[in-house]
Amino acid sequence: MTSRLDATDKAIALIRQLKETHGPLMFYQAGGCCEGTQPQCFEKGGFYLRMNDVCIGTVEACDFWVDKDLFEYWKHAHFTLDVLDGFGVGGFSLETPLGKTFKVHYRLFTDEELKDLAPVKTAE
Amino acid sequence: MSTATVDAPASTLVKRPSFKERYDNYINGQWTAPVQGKYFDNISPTDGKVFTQVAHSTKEDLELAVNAADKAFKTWGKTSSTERSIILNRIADIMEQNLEYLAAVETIDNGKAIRETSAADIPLAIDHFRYFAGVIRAEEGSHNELDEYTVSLIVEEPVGVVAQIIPWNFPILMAVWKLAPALAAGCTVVLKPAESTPTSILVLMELVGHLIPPGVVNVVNGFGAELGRALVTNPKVKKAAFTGSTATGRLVMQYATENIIPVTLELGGKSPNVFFPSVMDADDAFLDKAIEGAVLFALNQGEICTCPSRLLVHEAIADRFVEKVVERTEAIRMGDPLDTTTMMGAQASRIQFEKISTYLKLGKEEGAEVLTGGEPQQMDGALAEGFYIQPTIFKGHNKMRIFQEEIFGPVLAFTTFKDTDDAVAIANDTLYGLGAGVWTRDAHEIYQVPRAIQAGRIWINQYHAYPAGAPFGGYKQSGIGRENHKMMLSHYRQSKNMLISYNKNKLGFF
Repeated sequence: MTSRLDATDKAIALIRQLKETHGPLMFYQAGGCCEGTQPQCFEKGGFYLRMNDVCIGTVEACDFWVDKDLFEYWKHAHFTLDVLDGFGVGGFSLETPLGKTFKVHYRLFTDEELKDLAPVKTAE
Repeated sequence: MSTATVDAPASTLVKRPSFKERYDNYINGQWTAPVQGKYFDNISPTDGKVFTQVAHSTKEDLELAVNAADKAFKTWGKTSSTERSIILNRIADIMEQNLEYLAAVETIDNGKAIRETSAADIPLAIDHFRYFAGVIRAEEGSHNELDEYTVSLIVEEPVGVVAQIIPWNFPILMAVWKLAPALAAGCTVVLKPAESTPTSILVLMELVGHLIPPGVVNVVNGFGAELGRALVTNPKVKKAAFTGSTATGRLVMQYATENIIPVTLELGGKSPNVFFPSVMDADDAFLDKAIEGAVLFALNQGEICTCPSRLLVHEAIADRFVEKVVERTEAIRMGDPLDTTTMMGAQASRIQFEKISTYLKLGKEEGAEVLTGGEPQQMDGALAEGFYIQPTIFKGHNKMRIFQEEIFGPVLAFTTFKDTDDAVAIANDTLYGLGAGVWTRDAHEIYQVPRAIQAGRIWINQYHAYPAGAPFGGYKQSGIGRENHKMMLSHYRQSKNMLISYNKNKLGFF
């Protein structure tokens, strides 16, 4: 089965660091200007999910949720969660005061991979 | 793309302003060091280098600011509209006297070309103060005699302390869009600038702070992750205004439920710019204007919520029209943002630069055709470490991600349509509804197409005009509220109804 989500070592290290300060975490990605379409890291349960928002996988036991409308455009791509040095797009994501910003690298699934993708869960 | 770095005559370069080594918060009319004594670097996107530091504030700093605003409201909320109007006009006058300086400061802080900060950002901000200074002088409440003995009076009262969270794409102008109506309404403000562009607003406060009573405007810098929730949920805050992404906008709304305070939100778009066949009926000034209208995707390096980022052209004229659009795009002069001949400057931060670069790669992977640009722009000399992107045009279809996601960069996604119904369907096939453009010489299309497009602002035979007095805000997921118009005053006010009886007789129930 092909997973929809992976993370770089740098991203995993940062998540562990943030967990020490904030406890369990979640990710959410939606649209809009400025920090739109950036992955946002919040305390677990700190963001009110839309009905039928989609969880595409977990990293370090953190659910990675995406907006249900945009999932229609994102379901064809594999997400690799990474970290960049610096800040600047704004928003309330927890890593920015550390001078870091989470980022997703996308890769379109191959036809073979599309036949055997990991199932997703939806918010109820 | 031509680059102006090397060959620009020195005379076209605006002098780079000097900055203080660090900037404190502006609280209660005083420059106030952050309680925990921490600061963070502010990088200029023009050259990627640190040019000053600003306060890395915590909840303690917010507490000081909100308390100052709450105390100031007790007197500011009772000032006459005449007094407030005079102050707003004085602020505008000082800004006008310092227009060139403020424009240069904004260019260093944000990275956009001095041509735009001089001709758009700062002049629009000045006029915004004057607009609200004017409208509150002409306002009147209402008196309604409901029956012979009953009179209803409606009195508009300011809500109190308001929290304003400002984006980085127009640091001064977006702050003023929120500040001017709040001050005009009689509210006091705690304003948090964006962490990538925190300085220009502080420079503005250096110039105009003395005109405003202490505590009426407070500026606290820092990170949304550490300040956003504490600010919006502070029990003394009575309203929140935010511009940014949909996720953060929803978070602001979520926080606003705690004390049941109203919010206004401006959350972006993916605006269609629609060109009908009659545009090419003549090779005249209007066609020239229309071509520029399509190229306006590159204004402010595309970092505008209403960026006309989807170009929809009728198939009968598409090839001929887009050839001209590509030609005009390729004439965009990139260069030192402080050079008055530079037409497009730097993206506002390294992270934003990286995000746009990802979409350039993604567009190609999705199979979109690059008509021009498509790469980051490596600049020479002092600008080599700055964050520059080539203005880019992709040809593709509306289901591609580059047509659906707000890139917030100089990236245009172009497709064709067959007829009016097709144009409207594509225009509305988006999560957003902030802006749109319609270009035609046909009188019927001029009215019917804009009515059919679901967006708060439809420009007809123009684009990117933002005069004070024209309400601006979104349909769908683009937000709540209308800025840039006197109707914004109602978002900063409560309506009080005084219902008076002039009848001396009892009801007779008891």
